[in-house]
Amino acid sequence: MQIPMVNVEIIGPKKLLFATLATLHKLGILHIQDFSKDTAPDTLLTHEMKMDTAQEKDEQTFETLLARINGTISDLGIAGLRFLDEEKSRLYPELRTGSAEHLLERAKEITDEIEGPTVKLAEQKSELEAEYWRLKKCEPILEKIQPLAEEITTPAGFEFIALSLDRAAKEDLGHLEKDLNQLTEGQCELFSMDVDDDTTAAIFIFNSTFSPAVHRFLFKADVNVLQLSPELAGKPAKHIYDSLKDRLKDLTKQKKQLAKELKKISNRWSMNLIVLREILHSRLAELEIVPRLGSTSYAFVISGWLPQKSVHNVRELLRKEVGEEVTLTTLKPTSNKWETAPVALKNPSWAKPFQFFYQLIKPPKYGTVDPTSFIAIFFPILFGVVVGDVGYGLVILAVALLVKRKLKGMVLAQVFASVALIASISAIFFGAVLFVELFGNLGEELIARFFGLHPPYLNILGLDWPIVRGEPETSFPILMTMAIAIGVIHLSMGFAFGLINGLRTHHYRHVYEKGGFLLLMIVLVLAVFTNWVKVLPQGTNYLALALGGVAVIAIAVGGGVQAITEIFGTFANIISYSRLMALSLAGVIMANAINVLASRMGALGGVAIVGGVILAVFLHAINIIICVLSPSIHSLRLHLVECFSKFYEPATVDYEPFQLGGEKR
Amino acid sequence: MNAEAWRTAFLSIGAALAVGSAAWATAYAQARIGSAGSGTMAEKPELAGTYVLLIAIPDTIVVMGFVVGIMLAMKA
Repeated sequence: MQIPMVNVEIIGPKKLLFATLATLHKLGILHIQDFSKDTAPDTLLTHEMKMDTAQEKDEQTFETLLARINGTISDLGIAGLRFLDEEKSRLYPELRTGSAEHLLERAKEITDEIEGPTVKLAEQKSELEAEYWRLKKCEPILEKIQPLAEEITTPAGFEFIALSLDRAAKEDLGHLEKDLNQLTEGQCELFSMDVDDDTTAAIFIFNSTFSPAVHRFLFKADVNVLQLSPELAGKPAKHIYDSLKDRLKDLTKQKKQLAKELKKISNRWSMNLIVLREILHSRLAELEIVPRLGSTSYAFVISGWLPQKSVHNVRELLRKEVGEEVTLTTLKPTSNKWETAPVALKNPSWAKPFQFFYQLIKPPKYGTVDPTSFIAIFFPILFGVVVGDVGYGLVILAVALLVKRKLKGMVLAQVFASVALIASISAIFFGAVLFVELFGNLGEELIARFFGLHPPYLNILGLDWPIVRGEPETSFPILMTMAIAIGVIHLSMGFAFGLINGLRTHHYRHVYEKGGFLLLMIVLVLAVFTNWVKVLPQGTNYLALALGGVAVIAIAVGGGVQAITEIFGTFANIISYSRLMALSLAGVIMANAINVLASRMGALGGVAIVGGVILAVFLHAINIIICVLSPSIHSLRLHLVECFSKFYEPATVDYEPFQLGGEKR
Repeated sequence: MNAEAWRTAFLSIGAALAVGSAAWATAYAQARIGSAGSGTMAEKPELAGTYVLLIAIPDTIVVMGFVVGIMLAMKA
C-alpha cells in the first residue's frame, strides 16, 4: 500500500531557516522538493535560494574539519564504534542548534587538542610497524644462515650485507662474486647456503670504503638485499640474528606502549569525536540543502511532501521548537505536480519481503495500485506449482530458516530468506495436496512399499488424485490446463489493476481499454466452460459473442488500432504461462531420473548402497538449486513481463526524506 | 518398416527437432544478451533488474519448443 502524501510548504523568516532545517532534519520525514525544478512556482516573488558568501565559507570550513576529524578517528581506529543515542545526545547539545560560528570554534578547539598528539603517535606506530614487518620477513632467512654467520668474523673496517636469491638464479652467484671481487679490489668474501627449496641466502663481507659502490652495484643488479634496521647496522655477522630477535622484542614493546597511549586518547575522546562528526555531517547536510529551497527577500520557502498522518505533528513540533513565525501550509497540487509526488510503501509484514521487486524496477507511481500483496500471493503460487515437492520444499525451508538465523546482519540475505520461506511452504503445500511427491517419486515408492498402494489413490469428481507428474502422458494435459488457468487469472488481475489505475487517475480511455481486455478474459472463460468443460448451456456462446464484441469496441475506443493488435499479444502472454508446466515436468523428470540412477547403483549391494545414497544426495542437491533458481526467475518474468505490462507505471520520484544519517559522506 | 513405425519415427524426430532447434535458438539469443548484459553490468550495476528480465525473455522459445515437442512425443 502506498502511504498517502500531502504537498506542503513551510515558510518563515530567513533568520529561522537553520533552526527549522535542524528540526526537520531531526524529524526525518519531510521529502524536500527541489525548488528550482518545481513545475509551478507559486508566485513571482519567490526564487531559488543561494548560499551567501559566509555560508559558502562555513561549508568549506565544515568540510575541512570533517576531514581532520575523520583522519583522527581513523588513526585512533574507532570508526566502527557505536554509542547509544541517549549517551550521544548528552554531548554538546549547544552545538546541535547553535550558530555556525560557535560550532566551528568549538570543533576547531577540540580537533586541535586531539589531532596533534594522535597524528604523532599514529606516525610513530606506523614506522614501527613497517620496521617490524621488514625484520619479520628477514627473520626466517637469518635464522637459517645463523650457523654460517657464526663461523664468519667481521674484521674492523669491514661490513657485511645479507642477500637473498631465487634458487633458479643460484648460478648467477658466481658471476656476482666475480663482479664484487673486481669492484672491491679483492677485499671481500661471499658465503652462501640454501635456505629452502626456493631460496638461497648469502653473506657478503667487504671493506667499508667500497660501501657506496657496492650498494649502487647491487641496486643496479636488482639483487634482493635484506633490509635490516639502522639499529642493526655495524653489528658483526655472527651476532646479527640475536640482535634481530632483540630488536623485534623491543619493537613489540614499543608498539604496545604506543597502542596504550592511543587507547588512552580514544577512551577519553572517542565519543566526542563521533558526536562531533555527526553534528558536522548534519550541519553540512543542512547547508547543502539550501540551493534546493526557495526564498523571498526576507523569508525562506521549503516545498516538499509529508506523509498525510504526520502533518499535524510536524506543524506542532515546528511551532514548539522554532516558533509561531514558521508556518506549515498544505497545498492542493496540480495534476502535473502529482506526477512528482514521492512514493513510500507500507505493506503488511508477510508481503514486505516482496518489496525487493522494486530493486529490479522502480516502485509503482504515486496514486496507482501497489502490487506488493498481489506479488506476495502469486509469486509463491507460481513457485509452488513448479517445485511441488514436499522433500524439496522442506530442504528450501530449512535453508531459509538457517539463513534467517545465522545471517541476521545481512539485509539482502534476510529478504531472500523470507521470500524463500514463504515460497517453500507453497512448494510443500502443492507437493502434498496435488502431486504427493517426496524427492520425486520416492514418496510414491515408499507408499507402495509400506501400504501397497499405487497412484491414483483416489478419484475425485472424475479426476485422478494425485497428479503423477512423472507420467507426462496423463499429467501433461492437466498441468497445461492448470498453467493456462493461472495465466488467465494472473493477467485478468493485471487488467483489473489497470482499470483501477485508470479510474484513480481519471484516464477514461485507459479505463475503456483495460475494461475491454478484462471483458475479453471473461469471454474466454465463458467459452471454455461452455464448449470444453461443458458445464454452461450452449446459449452462453451467444452471450460470450456479444460480450466479445463489446470488449473489442471498448479496446478500440480506449487504445485505438494498436490496442486491437495487442489482443493477439495477450493470447501469446497466456500461452507463455505454459512455462509453468514445462518447468514443472522438467524438474520432476530430473528428480525421478536421479532416483532411478541411485536405486540401480544401490541394487548392486554392499558399498554401492552407500555410493547410491551419496549420489542421490548430491544430485538432488543440484536439482534443488536448479529448482530454486529457475522457478524464481520465471515467476519474476511472468510478473514483470506478462502481467505488469497490463497496468504498471513506475514512479518518477523515490521518497527520500531529509533525515539524519541520510548523508552520503 | 510399416507405416506405423514410419509415423512414430517421424513424430519422434519432429519432437527432437522442436526441442533441439528451440533450445539452440534460446541459447544463441541468451549468449548475445548475456555478453552484452555483462558489459552493461560492469558499467551500470543498477541495471541488474533489466538484465535479468532480458536474459529470461528468450526462454519462451524453448518453452514453446518443449510444449510442441511433448505434444508430438505423446502422439508417437
